Amino acid sequence: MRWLGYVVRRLLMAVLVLVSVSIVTFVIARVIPSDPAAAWVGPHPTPEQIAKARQELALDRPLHEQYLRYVTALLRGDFGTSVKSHQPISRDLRNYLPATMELVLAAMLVAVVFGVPLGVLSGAKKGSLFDHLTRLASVAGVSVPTFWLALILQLLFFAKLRLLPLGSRISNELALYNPIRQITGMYTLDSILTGNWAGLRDSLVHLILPAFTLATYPIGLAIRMTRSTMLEVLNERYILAARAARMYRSFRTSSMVERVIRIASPMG
Amino acid sequence: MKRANRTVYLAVALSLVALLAVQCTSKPQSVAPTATSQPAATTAPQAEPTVTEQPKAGESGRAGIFVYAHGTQFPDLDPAKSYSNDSVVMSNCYETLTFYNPPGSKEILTPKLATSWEANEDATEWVFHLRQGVKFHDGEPFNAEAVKFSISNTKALGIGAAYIWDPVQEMEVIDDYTIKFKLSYPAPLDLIASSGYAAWIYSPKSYQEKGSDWFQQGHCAGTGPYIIESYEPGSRLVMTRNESYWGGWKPGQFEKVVFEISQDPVVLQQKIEAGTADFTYGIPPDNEEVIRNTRKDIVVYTNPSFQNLVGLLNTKKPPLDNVKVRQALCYSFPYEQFISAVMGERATQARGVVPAGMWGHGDDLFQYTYDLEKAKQLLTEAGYPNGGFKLTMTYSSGDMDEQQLGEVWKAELAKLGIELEVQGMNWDAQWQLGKSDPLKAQDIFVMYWWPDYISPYSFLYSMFHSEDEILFNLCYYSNPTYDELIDKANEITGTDREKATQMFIEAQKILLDDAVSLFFYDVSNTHLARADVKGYVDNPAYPHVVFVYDLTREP
Repeated sequence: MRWLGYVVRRLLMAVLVLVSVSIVTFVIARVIPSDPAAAWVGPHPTPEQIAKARQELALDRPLHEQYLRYVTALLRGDFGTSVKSHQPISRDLRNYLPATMELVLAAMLVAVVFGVPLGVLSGAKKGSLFDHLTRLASVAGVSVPTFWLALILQLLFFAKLRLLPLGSRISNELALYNPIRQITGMYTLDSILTGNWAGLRDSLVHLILPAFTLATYPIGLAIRMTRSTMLEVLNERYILAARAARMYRSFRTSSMVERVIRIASPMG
Repeated sequence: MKRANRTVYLAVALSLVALLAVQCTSKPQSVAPTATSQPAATTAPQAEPTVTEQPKAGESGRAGIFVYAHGTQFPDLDPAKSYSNDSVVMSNCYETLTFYNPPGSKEILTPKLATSWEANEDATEWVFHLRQGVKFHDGEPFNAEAVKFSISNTKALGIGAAYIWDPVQEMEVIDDYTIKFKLSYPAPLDLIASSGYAAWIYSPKSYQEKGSDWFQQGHCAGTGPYIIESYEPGSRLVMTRNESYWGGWKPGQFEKVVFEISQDPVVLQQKIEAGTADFTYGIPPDNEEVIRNTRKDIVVYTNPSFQNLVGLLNTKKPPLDNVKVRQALCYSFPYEQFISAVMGERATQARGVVPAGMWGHGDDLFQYTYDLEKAKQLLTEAGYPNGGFKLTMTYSSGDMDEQQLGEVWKAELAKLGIELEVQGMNWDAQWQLGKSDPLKAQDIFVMYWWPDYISPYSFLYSMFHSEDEILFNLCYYSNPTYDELIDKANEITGTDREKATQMFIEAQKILLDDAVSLFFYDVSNTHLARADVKGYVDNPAYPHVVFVYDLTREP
């Protein structure tokens, strides 16, 4: 029953952390000099408009009351309304979150698919030219600034080679003539669900540059980690024993599987 | 070990093949409907797109689509509330009663949804005669009731530029196509009705039944030539023709309008250079010049805007409470040198408060020039022969032009023995400091001003009229003679624009004599368009707006 106590303790801690984070962010947002009422109205508000907005947004109430309103709304799942777009925050989240998730998943997939095999092979072939090149690539992947790499890749693949699109999640032509019906907001998934194969290909093509750019760092990391654990395992005595018994190959395969699992956990 | 080697090569080769495969299959897709302006389209190896992505019959493909690569999002598409860059969208689906003509036109205003209008002698009663046979996108008829609803609804919500309708006390529907406005004080309602913000006329039925939220999610119910078809916030907005537009359609006009949003200026530039976009603005200024000089397929339009950069001086706090010191500051800035070295085509030195090209601008007004001798003399007269004081200038951090201006000015003021602290703040913080106690606030407040509806009063009132509670009069200036002059001028703007112009120019003389602010420069806007797009005219009254209805594509 020790685990139950642990879970309860962690949950209580989580609540405490959430409450204090909400207080701190709320106070910071209200203490820095700014006028949300004026921002709500627009770029050139009049004093009457500001006064009206202040009242409507309850900004004239004492701070603790404002905080309570904020928290109770939050508990009801109401994140409030953006002062700039006058739209519910939850809608903004719903609009942008799936796109972010899709990109992150794509980048992670790229990182695992490229990083782990390269790391394994580089470990297995320690000291070879391939190993040196892979290690160089991994150092480059970890140290290259992504915003710079993104620019270079755009110049190369869009401006010069005309192979890949620039920006956006789908092309104008698709948006006009063959739009993807939104279900989850992740275009690749939605186009599979609706059988829109043109949409699938178009959204995948648009994912290539950002996914590879974002994946450079984790690829480099995955290569290094896989390689070092690979080497560690290959130096184990049982490998030596297996080698002696000419079972080396099959053991190497199993160590690969093990590495894949170990690598996957820090990435998650 | 040999076999292991082979595995490596196989793995690398396979991944390369996979990568190439995806790229190749992508090709016909990204260029599907062939366009005349896309040289790359002809080089695609596979001519036949394998999917049903070609335009449907009757649509002219890429040639009939106008693509505007836009650098900012469209925060609020509700015609009653919108007060920002979303005017580039709104102006294509909504219309106003009157229209402000581009500079150089014979008349200031042209009829739009109103065909004619007249005011009584003291401009407190206005009658607008409305265009007949116009329909909203939802099929409802456009009439006096719709005008009454739109304006009173916008006014009641009170968001954004709704204050432009403040003078309107009562609206009376005389008949279907005549509406009478009764004002609580004299005001130029014809100009107000041409505003690029808060003056849109929209369908009462749609607004009442569907509400603000429906509009904000990317729908429209106006009278304009295009209708919003789809909207993905933050990435793309598509508009299609309003087939029953009252102006009618001619061959060659665009079928569709696409706004592509990318917040990276370099992406905007690459899109216009590659021809995947037809129009953009806001690319890095140096690159604008390169394109202007090297590209024949892109036209770079640079036009004066109605926006200017001012440096409001704190007239309440010593030593700037002394007019001689303020005048000395006005002589200490190297206007011409700064503009030619830093701004290039993007600015012209301001003359007076009202930007050139706008009515109320005075061509003969006094203009301060760079003259350190004169500044030194004025400082001596004021009792500071060797300077010896410190000033703080605040500006919006992130604005490179303002920042460079501060650094240049700092060096000049150092020659006069004045230390200038150049402080970048975010706009909110800068403004809050400005609105606090003048004696503790900044000495110089650098900001841009632009008008809502096109009147000198916007500049002269907002920044320089006495205020009980400080809002934008951040020089804390208070001069009853000046206040009376501009208030009177505004009252007669609707009836005697000639006289009003004279009075507004007179008022600017007072401000220049009192040296309440530096007027650094009028901003010029640069827009880039593909050369095959014809008919574009910049209209500073509607900044960055492209009236796509006026355009055609000609090879």
